Amino acid sequence: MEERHMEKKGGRESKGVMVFVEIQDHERVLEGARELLTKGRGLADRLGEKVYAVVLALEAEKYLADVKNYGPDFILYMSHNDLKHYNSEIFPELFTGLIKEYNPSILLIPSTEAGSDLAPRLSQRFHTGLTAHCTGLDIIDSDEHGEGLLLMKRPAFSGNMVASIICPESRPQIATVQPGVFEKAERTGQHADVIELAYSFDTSSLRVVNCEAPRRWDRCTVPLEQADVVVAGGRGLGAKCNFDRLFELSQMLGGEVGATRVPVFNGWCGLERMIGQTGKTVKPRLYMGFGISGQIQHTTSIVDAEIIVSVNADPGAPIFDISDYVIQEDAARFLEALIERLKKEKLTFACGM
Amino acid sequence: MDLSLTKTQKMVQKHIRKFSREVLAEWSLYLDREAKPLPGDIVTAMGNLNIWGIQAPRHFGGADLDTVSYAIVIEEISRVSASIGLGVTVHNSVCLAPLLKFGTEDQKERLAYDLSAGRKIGGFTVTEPNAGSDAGGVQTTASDDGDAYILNGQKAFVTNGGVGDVFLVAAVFDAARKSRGIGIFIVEKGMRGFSVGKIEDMMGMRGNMVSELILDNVRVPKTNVLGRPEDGFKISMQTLDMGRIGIAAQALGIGMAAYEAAALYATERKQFNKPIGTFQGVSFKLAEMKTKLEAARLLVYKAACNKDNGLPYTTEAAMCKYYAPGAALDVCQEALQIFGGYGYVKELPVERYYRDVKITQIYEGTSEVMKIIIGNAILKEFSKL
Amino acid sequence: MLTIAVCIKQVPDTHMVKIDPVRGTLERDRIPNIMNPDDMHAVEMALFLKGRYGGTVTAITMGPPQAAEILEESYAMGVDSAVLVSDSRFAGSDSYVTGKILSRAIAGLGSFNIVITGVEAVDGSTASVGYHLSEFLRMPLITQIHKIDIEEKHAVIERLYGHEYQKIRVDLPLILSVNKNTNVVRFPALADIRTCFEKPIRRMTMEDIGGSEKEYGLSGSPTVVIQSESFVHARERETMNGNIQEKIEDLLVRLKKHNIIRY
Repeated sequence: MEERHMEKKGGRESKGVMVFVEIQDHERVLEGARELLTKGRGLADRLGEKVYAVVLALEAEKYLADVKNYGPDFILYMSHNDLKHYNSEIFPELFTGLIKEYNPSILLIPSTEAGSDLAPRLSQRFHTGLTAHCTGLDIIDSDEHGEGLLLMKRPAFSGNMVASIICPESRPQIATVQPGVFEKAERTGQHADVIELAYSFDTSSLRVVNCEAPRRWDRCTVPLEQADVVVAGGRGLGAKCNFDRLFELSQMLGGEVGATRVPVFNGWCGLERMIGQTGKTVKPRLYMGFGISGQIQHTTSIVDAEIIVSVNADPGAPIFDISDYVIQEDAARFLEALIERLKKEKLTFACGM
Repeated sequence: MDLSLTKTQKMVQKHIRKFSREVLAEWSLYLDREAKPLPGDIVTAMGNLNIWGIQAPRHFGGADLDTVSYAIVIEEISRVSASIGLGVTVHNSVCLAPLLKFGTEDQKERLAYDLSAGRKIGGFTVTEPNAGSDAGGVQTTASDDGDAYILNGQKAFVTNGGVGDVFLVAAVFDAARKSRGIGIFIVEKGMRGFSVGKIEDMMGMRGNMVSELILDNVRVPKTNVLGRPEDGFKISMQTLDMGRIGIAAQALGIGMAAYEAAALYATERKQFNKPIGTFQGVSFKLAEMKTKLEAARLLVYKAACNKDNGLPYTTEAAMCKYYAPGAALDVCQEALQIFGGYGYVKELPVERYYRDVKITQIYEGTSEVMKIIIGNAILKEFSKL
Repeated sequence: MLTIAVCIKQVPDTHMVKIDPVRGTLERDRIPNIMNPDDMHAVEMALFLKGRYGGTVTAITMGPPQAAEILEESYAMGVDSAVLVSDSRFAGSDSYVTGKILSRAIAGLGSFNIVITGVEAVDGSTASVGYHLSEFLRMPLITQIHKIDIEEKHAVIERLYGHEYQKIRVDLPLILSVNKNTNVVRFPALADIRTCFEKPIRRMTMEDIGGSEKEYGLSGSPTVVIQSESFVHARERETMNGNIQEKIEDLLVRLKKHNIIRY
């Protein structure tokens, strides 16, 4: 069993920030990728270096104008039918080539399904560090380890701690970031060199093949990470019929429905409504938790909400400790009563649709 | 003298606690409110984990665990539901255990596998309408009929009565021989003339189908006599010794549930701007509760260890069966007091602990009978000097 | 006949973490150790496949000597053999090095047609060891499995992938990565708990897996943790009082005050 170690380019120092611009649903640039382009721009400016945006997709040309708005110096793209979906045998191979060629010092990847597959494979191939699910990125100078290092912060110990990590020697320094953690900001007036790259891959060597066309699975109309109001349900709601009422409430408040892992596991809703360390991070103006006890893997992803309201029958529910407003009631009953009450008053909502 | 649990005991505790809380707990309310038995698939799930054959040999599909582990299993299950704990301990310690200890190879081959797996549920009955503490006053008759005995009579307050398949029944085959005329007969569901009478509507333990058993000319083959007929009384006494450790563990479990609920409540409930646990009126109660339960626990484990080490344990079993239920009753009462009004309503389990615990001072030998046993042992010990 | 390897890790029980109220630091000393929750689901998957298709399950863990405890626990769940990969020179290894060590151990133990890992460890939470194994062992890694059927040389797997539900065909050998969404972990039977401490645990050291000291441990790890601080939330914690209707009214008043709802 040999190891695919890539040698560092002898002598030439790594420079620049490369960003994996993931394309979502073969339709649009992932919001999280826009956020990383913005963040990457900020980091590159601090270092006086360049930003390389990488787009690998079918009809990649469609997305270039959008990407340009976030101010990268280079847009590297490949366009091919094989690239319509992320593929764990193809993408890492292509990226390996790009990294060897452009030798970035930092690589930013969204913590999506695709990104979480791509990042560790690249870290293995380059024997470099990977910090996943970062909640903070910065440039620091360290007496001990050197200047211009990427400082990566992430939760540890089930969210009870925040660890600060650096990768002093190996390159590129790789970080994955969950969509919703950083803000996006357009950057106009920046010139970008758009470079189309040739794609080639021997697909006969692929060991994973689709048997049939993939099917849609519970599409969220408003991505949770962008929602201004999130109403979330947990085990305490008891049954799917109670959980379903959250959709009524979220519609009235102009928000989106989220869940902890219990509703997802019970089939009350799809996986993409799951909020938590392995799910989505939200930072709405209002978060309401119904029947959620507040295990740290969930609460770590809601702490940036402006107002947290929690409803739970259990007086000792941990979520109460991080709430602004605590309601000790049976969640299903309270939800029902709240919906009835809101119906009576014609309210407008500051963050409504 | 190492009082800590062994690796095996710790693992048993961890996993049975988890199983009880995750699988059994949600049935505790249903069992109490509906007074119905556990659904069949839960009984089967428990069987897959060897809960119906905790100490039975591997050969019969049991887990072959030591008695302290046994006490731990009963305690953890009873914390979550005293009714389920009762069913499990009676089945294991006063039906399966005496069968394994006193039964013939044929009897064991025929019944032990099903009992260990929970495919058949067992019970044990001496008590009758006119024979409670006075076990020698049994009136159910067993008349010799060649290759079988014919049993006639009525049994009262039979734990697992409404759901059981195999019962060890005490009956008189020779009234002249007094206690040596009482035998233990294996009576099985399906035998003609054997039926379940009324199912008791009880204050607590409502998830156990405690019932009357009617024996109307039931023909029990002689191959179903447990041990020799004249050993029936002795078998009963030894069986109850084994059973009492389980009952004490059951009481301990109920007490622990009440105590932990009260302690948690005391740290969260605020009155006069402070958690009520900071008032000595409450914290002193908790201190007494914890101490009594710990003392009960040590008595249970002592009896269990004596049994495992082949030492006499009749007195120790009586001591833990007298002490633990009494301690648990005090604990449940004080816990309810700490909860105040909330302890009295059915939305919380505290009132159920209080209702469940009382019977532990009564069945398988009342506390009074336990004191007789201990008193006799004392006199015997000191009159030698 | 399947030969299944399950990689498991012993971790502190991070749910039982208590924060020292005065110093704001984690009280790490008295936290008990457990098998990483995702890894329990991995063992469950292994036992499920063995139950369906026959074969053997080998549990493997890399850790200090006390990690043998989780191997005992995996015996209680029903695995057939257990391996402890332990060497003081492995201490401080990050995910990359851990992946290297485990893959060398797996390769050294024989050929497996299925390797199963948990998605994420609750202490480090990098969720990348499965991918490192995939790269080192050159086996495809499949995540978010909903259904799996195994034929002679390949598996047909239905799984979730982002918004999509896919049905894919994967050549054996392969790696599965599972967690709480995949299955429900079985409870160990009392009879298996009774015997689990008496079963043999094979030990593998650096000499058994090969390689040199500088590849392992801290020196082999590219990332460095330069700081850890505890994370504390501070919120109002205002409790609404009264009956349900009163609580709703109070809540609406406050939401209006925060300008989240308007008249």
